[in-house]
Amino acid sequence: MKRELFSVLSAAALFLAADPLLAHSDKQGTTPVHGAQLTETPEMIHMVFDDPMRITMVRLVNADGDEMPIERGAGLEPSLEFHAEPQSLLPGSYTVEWRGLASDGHAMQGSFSFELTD
Amino acid sequence: MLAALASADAVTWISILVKTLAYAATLVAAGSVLVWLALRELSADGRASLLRMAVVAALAAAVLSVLRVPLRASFLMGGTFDGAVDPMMLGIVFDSPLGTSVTVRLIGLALILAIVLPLRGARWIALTGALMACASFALRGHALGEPRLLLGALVTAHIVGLAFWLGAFAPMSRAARTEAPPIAAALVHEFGTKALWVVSALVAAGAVTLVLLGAADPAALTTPYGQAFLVKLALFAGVLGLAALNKVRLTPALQSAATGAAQRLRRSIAAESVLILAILATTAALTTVTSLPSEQARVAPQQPKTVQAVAHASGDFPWLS
Repeated sequence: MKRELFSVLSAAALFLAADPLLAHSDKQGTTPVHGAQLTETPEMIHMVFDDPMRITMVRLVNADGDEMPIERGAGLEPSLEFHAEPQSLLPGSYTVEWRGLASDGHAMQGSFSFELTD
Repeated sequence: MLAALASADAVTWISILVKTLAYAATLVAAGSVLVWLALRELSADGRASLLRMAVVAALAAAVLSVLRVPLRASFLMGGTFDGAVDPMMLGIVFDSPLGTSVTVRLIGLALILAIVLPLRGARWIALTGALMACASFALRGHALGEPRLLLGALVTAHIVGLAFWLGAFAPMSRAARTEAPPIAAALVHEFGTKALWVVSALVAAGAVTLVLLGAADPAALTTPYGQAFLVKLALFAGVLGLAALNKVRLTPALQSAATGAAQRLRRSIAAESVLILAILATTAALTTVTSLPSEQARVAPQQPKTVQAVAHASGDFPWLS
């Protein structure tokens, strides 16, 4: 019985150990930071990663879901930084949505928002 | 994670479904070979049935695994069909760890098919294939951290154990349904005995993995990942409970040919299968909507400078992955 209990506890430990996402300690800071209130169009949309990320898709959308033009400043190569330049924006809420491929093969996605006021 | 799932597009949902089924089919294909080789109490009909299971599961696993490449490409392009057929994006995915993993898995699955060949060494070819299919899980995620070789070996060992467990469900259920109680009881008893050793053999692997990954951080349980992990842990507790029930109550009942014992055992195995499928689905969801940086950013203080710490000591380790 002791051996069975040992096995059960060990299996539970193994389960804990093998969970991939427990090892994730994702944090994100961006420029603009999420929830920022700005009075003028940001000069740059900027993200920094602590491990090379291949950004495969990024878009800037307004509150209606319309896509705003941005100019990517980086290609598809894995990089610790990504930046893009938006064109002049009208007041309103905007969201940056991105997807990418991490170096360990994980497909990643994320988004952050900011608001432009008069 | 729920928020991410709620806003997930169709491609993300399809990816989760395909990934879940690919996990299950690969594990059953490899596990069928392991069980075929390891359980001496299998009847002749049971062996023939298990061979068919291995072949069907291997073919299904191959199709599902290949499908993951265009699905990943589509996801990376925002969930569009154009992404799924974009040569450049397909190339990027194929060059990523996922591409390597799928390639190794396909070779392994092809070798598993050798089990039906009338060759003297066919079983060893199939065993090699089963081990390769299991090792394919170690070619991304967790196992890409350091020490890479050790982590890869631990992940592979873990998947081999899981495959053996899953691979035994169908033959045990079949035996309980079609074989005489003493024959079915002998098979279930043999599995119970060997499964205990398999789990015990994984103890060291689990402990070392835990230490190497430093994953036992209670603070992680406050994150969406941690909360989803608790769901998986609850499901896993259910699996272990049923496994214990099978060994302690249902196997002796079957050995004594108690009325309804076979039916109860089959129901228990079916419930175990559903729980494990739920674990695989939860894992697939977690590893597909690995989006959560943004979710966590919304509850975490922002850094003055942009920082995203994506600790890639993790991966598509299904099960417990």
